[in-house]
Amino acid sequence: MSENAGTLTSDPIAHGASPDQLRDEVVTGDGRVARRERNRSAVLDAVVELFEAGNTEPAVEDVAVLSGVSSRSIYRYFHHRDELVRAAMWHLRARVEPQMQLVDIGEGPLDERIDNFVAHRLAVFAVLAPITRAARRTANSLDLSSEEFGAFQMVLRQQFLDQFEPEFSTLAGRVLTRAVVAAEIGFQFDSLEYLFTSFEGNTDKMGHLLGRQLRIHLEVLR
Amino acid sequence: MTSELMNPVSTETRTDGRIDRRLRNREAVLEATIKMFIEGEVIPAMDDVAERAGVSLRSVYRYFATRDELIRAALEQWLLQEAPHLVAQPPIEGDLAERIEYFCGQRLALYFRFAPLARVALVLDEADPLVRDLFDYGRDTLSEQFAAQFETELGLLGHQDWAMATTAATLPLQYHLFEYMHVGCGFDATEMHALVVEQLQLHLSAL
Repeated sequence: MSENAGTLTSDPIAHGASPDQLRDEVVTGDGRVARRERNRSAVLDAVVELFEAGNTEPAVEDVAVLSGVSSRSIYRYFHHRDELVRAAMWHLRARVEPQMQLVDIGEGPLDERIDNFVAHRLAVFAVLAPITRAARRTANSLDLSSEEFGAFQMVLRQQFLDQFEPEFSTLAGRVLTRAVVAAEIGFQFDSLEYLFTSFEGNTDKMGHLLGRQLRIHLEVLR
Repeated sequence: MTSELMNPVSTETRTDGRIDRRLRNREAVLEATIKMFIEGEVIPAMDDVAERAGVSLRSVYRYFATRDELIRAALEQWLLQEAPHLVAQPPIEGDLAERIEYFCGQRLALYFRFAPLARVALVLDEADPLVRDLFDYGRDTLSEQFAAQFETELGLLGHQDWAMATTAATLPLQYHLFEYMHVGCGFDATEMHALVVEQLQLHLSAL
């Protein structure tokens, strides 16, 4: 937690592909903006790569070496670390968007839907875990994760509801909320992280537990 | 404090009361910070702390160079005060339903007692040894307590199944999930209780 927490803007858009930059492009229309965007993208790719390699607090120098963009430019694009991490998360989000899709959502028998869902969530977790861990370890982790993951969580929650629509369709209001929360417990990031640690990274065991847990909950609803 | 002043233990305190006052003020700053934590102020502002403690902002910075340092020191002190309440309760006798009720009640009471502290701890840094120890301890006692309380149900399982069942059943009772239910989903203590009781019933009767 740093003392400059207050300088972080609460608007995530300002850190991703911002309307400001789009406007710049229209106004200037020269090659500089395109290069700037390319560099920015290379920097963010490098941050994500370092995170994925387990380096949760990469130095700007490391990012510079990996991306081929000078430290000076990096500082020009991102005023401080938090901003860099934040932007990297939005960058990653755009990159993993296709993987976030759950195919044949809500289709097939319950057992099949459970298995597909569990496998899909474990795959999403594998993609997002390194950067989530890194983000949490940075300063102001609470601000960061609540903002960036709020958007992810909405998508994931809706996916869960769609996948098990037949089971939840008879419920409404508070009862529905409770049933969803209960059934979804194992898929919270912290839960997955806890299971990952408990089972020493064994995804088969994680999948087994998650599948069983989900089955227990959904079968009660029938 | 007066007796200490009358029976000075060191020459420094005899020459003037500065050391004593310094310690007293430092203590007041820590106490004020803890009070603010309890009121839900996870990252108290230094000047608010100074005002609460009745010392100057300059003094606060003299005792604690950074806000992180203050928060860490206050958290440590708070943890020491609260430590006795973290000790695991012995299991009770009774049928499964009674034991589940009791166990969930215990865990929820513990959550409501420790949540303000845990929130501060997590703002500090998850990787801080103090924070890690706190959460590791919490998890270990949860597993131990669970194993002791539901020995009858778990006793027949082999090691693999035992680990699986324990992890699955204790998952909803982890701090972060209580936090998720309470803060994230707006559940009150009664709803949380009903939810975790149901969870344990499902898991333990499935064995």
